[in-house]
Amino acid sequence: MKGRIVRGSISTGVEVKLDPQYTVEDVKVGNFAVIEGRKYRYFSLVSDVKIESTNPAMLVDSFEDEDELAREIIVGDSIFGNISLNPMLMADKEQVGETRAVRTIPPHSSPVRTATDEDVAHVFGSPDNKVFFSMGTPLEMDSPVCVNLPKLVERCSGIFGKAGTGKTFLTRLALAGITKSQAAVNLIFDAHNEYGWEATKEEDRGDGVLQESHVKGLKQLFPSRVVIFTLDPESSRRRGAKFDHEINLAHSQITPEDVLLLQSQLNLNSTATETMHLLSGKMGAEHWFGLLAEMAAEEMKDYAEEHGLHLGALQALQRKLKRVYDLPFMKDKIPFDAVDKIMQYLNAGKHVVIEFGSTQLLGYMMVTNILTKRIHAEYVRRMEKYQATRENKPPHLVISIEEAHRFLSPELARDTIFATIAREMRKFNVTLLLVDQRTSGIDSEVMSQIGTKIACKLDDESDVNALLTGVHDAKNLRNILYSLDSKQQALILGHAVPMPVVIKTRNYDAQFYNEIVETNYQENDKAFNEMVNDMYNDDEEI
Amino acid sequence: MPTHIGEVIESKTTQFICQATELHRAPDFGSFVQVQDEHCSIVGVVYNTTTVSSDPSRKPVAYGQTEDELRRQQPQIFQLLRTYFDVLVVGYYQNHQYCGFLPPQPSRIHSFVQQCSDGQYKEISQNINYISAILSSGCECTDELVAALIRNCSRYHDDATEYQRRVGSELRRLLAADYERFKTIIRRVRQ
Amino acid sequence: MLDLSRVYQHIEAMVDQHKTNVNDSKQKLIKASQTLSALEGGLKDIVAKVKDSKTSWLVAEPVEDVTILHSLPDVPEDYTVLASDGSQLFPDHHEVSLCYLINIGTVFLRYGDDSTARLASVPRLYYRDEELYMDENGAKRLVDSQRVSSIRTLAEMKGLVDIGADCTSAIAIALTDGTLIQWAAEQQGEWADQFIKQLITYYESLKQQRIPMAGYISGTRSTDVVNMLRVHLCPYDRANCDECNQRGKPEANCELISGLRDATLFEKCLAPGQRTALFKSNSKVLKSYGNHRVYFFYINVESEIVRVEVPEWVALDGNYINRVHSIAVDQARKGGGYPVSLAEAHQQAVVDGNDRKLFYELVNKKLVEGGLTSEITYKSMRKRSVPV
Repeated sequence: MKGRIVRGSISTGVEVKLDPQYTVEDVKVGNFAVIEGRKYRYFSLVSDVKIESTNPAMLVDSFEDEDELAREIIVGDSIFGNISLNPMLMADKEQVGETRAVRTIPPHSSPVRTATDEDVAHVFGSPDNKVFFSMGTPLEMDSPVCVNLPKLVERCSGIFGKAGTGKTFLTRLALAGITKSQAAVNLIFDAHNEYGWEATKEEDRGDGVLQESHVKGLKQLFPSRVVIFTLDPESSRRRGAKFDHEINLAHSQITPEDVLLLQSQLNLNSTATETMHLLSGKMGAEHWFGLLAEMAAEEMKDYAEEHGLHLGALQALQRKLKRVYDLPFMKDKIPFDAVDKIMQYLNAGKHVVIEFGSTQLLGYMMVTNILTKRIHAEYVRRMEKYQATRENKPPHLVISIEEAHRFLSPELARDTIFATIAREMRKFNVTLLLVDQRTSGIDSEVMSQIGTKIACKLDDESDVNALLTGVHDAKNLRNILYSLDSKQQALILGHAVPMPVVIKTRNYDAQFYNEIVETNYQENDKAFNEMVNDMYNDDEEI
Repeated sequence: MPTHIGEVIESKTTQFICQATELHRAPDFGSFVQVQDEHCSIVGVVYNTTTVSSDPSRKPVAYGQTEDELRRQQPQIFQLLRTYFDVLVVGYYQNHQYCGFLPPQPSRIHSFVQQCSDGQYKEISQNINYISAILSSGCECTDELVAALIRNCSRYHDDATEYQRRVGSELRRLLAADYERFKTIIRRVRQ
Repeated sequence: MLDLSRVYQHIEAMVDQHKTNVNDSKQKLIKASQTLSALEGGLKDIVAKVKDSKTSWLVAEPVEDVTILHSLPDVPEDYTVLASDGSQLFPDHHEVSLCYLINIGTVFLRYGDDSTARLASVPRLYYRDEELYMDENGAKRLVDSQRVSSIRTLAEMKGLVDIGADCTSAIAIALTDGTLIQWAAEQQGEWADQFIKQLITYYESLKQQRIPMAGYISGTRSTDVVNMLRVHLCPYDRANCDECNQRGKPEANCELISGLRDATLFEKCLAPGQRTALFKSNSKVLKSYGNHRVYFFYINVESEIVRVEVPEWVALDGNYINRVHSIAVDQARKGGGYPVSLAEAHQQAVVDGNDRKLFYELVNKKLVEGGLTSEITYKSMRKRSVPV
């Protein structure tokens, strides 16, 4: 694609008249284009493609056979492709320096061209698996588009897209990148068992028949750096997935707030909420849950009378909480506190994947909430200590959660730990990686705190609107979003990329594995096993 | 020096009128001619040819005879007819360099007029200023004239199609406000 | 300025007069026709009576039976016609310079396979003393219009002879506009001889070139043949008007058809294309023409009756006279009633008012350039612009 700037403004972007030899079909929304200004080079995204004419009469001309010459003269020159570009970044032309946000626009008739590999590298950096991590390539190009991993983890980020658009693969890529680069340690709440160990993927073989294949999990790629905890060891065994530890929750670990998160799942009304708080106050936050669970009918009646509680409310609460008691990992007592163990690993720079096996949503939410809350509290404590002593800074932690809207819906957002983390941003060295298909289900305040957004195709207008809340130049990005393919394409915008960019997602395949895996298995394995053994020894001491 | 085909009998800066050396032997409509002057040679395009009685007070009448019969039986009338052609100035040569704009002085009366050579055609038509010169001349049938010239000139260019496109683009630029007229002309260029 | 309303009544009176004349003419025409018919077979008698007569008017002398009508001979496909005509600017005392100009138009037309047309005009300016003044019994006098006309006639003839030299056609004729009979030369005194002599030289040249020549007189008012009839009607054996006691009396026999023109007479009997019998002119001036005496006849050229005059060597050559006859008719046809060659010669020769103006302006300009004052007269200035 080649063209020249015909008009423009900072607020609306610039318009390009395509050179006659190109047609509108040569340009697609989301393409990456470079404008050579006089002093600066501008990196831009195609936001719109139009057919324009210098004279409206030409547009309605059907060009009969005898008008062949007229057609040759008119089409391409007087009827031409008009491309709307959004200049995003500019850089000095002479030295290959830092790119900056655009503060001016290129002069009239500046040449415009399709970006080259050098341009892409200039803007997005060259992949080094430390800072710059390739997520894919621009559409119709082969040069890698990198995200800046330290920046990605610096703030909360999100990977969005409706089901089946490749969200999970993008998440795998991002997590693998973080793991590889050690930009942060991961704590992954792997609701669907997709990240830790092997997962299956269905793939069109090209003839319409879906073929099932296996993709490697983080543990397989980074055996020495990743620890898998499971809540459903049966499931893990069935799947043949390795895990390092089993997690159980003790009744004593459940607070009314944890239950409140499940308000809608458990159908809790305000009376139930009040009752829980009363019980917690009277019985103690560590005991109320266990005691209520074991309370017999007679006992309950006495207790109600004794403490002036409404018996019916108490009975209803017990009934409703039964689903929680029945969760397989809920135990009276547990051999070790999973949070301590997880913290140990995280402190050691290991990445933790928590697999849920066949655990239902309820359990997922419960566990995720409780663990996160505790880990966050621990992080707060350690960070505060670090700030005082300047010693033992805990590693940056990225907590990945799926079904993020369950935790961050507008009704809940104020109360949950995730909203807190999102709001605190990096204050305590903890950030979130949200994975979701319903951006509209996430509180808009939280959405606006998300630094980097990676979006696959979104159909629902409310989801698109939610995604673009607070984004500069949302109007043009909206076109791009709607134009994404439903497979293997994503728009990345925000903190970790210098400019929004549409990518063809990198293949998560053997080549990727080769590039990313640990180089020295044996040594790493040995060290890892030693560490795990050490931890078991620790347990025995508890 | 090639033989002349006419002689200037009326001249102004933008146009001149020539009397053809021979009756009915005017250069073609839309062909380039040049007037050799002392200092420069003025180039123009033939846009009109008239054959009339040389005496304004005498009008030709219909004889009801073929030209051959007339030549046998009324030979004098061919002595009394004159062919004139009108030329629109489009440029001139100075120091063997073609300039696609009006010369500083009009051609002299009684200068001889010659056809332009093939090489000159190529050189002159390379400079597409002639299009605007014709369009703005206000002389009759400008549209036909432009089309005829483009047809003629494109023969002298290796890539006739490319030349037609180039000139067509200029035409389109000049007729930006009158698309129908543009098409009318272009339709006459390639048939 | 002409006041048309005031001349109107005169016009009416004039038309009335014409009506009377027309009636009168009809009577005369009938009488003349009868007289002509009566002459059939009486060539000898009438020739004798004409020769013997002494009249104050010109009388034609028939060469053949006066009632003969010659049909139109075949018109040759390929022929050449030469024609000349002249016009002049007479010397004018009121103009910037005293001089006169003669412009001769010549036409060479060849028809047929090798058709050619050459039209030309050659002007000549006369300004020397010997050209401007004529010697009249020792006294110098500015040339009059007759003298200029005669000089023009010579120039016309010279023009014909000149273009005749280029003529390669086997069949050619030379035409001049008007009569060959230079009757006015008599008044030119001594110069007349010189004039006629020169003229005859040119005639002789054409004769040598084998190009028969003819004077073509359109709208002729001649009465030679009618006069011959008047001689015939004369009751006296020898017509001698000087001794006639009835002279001028309306009841005289010769007055019965007087005033009638030859053309009117022949209009009645000539079919289109036909020519009359040949007549010899008895004009006194012809005595000095030698063997170029002028003969004449009338032709119906379809549009009118014209008089054609030829020198003797043409008149008495059957080929020549038929050629003149046929080509004259063809020329008139081609020219729409008047010979195309003569018409074109006239066009070449003509000097109109505008030309005259331009000519004198040019003369004036050159005089001024030459440092001379132009001799423009006050009257002439006045003619050009009359202030209110």
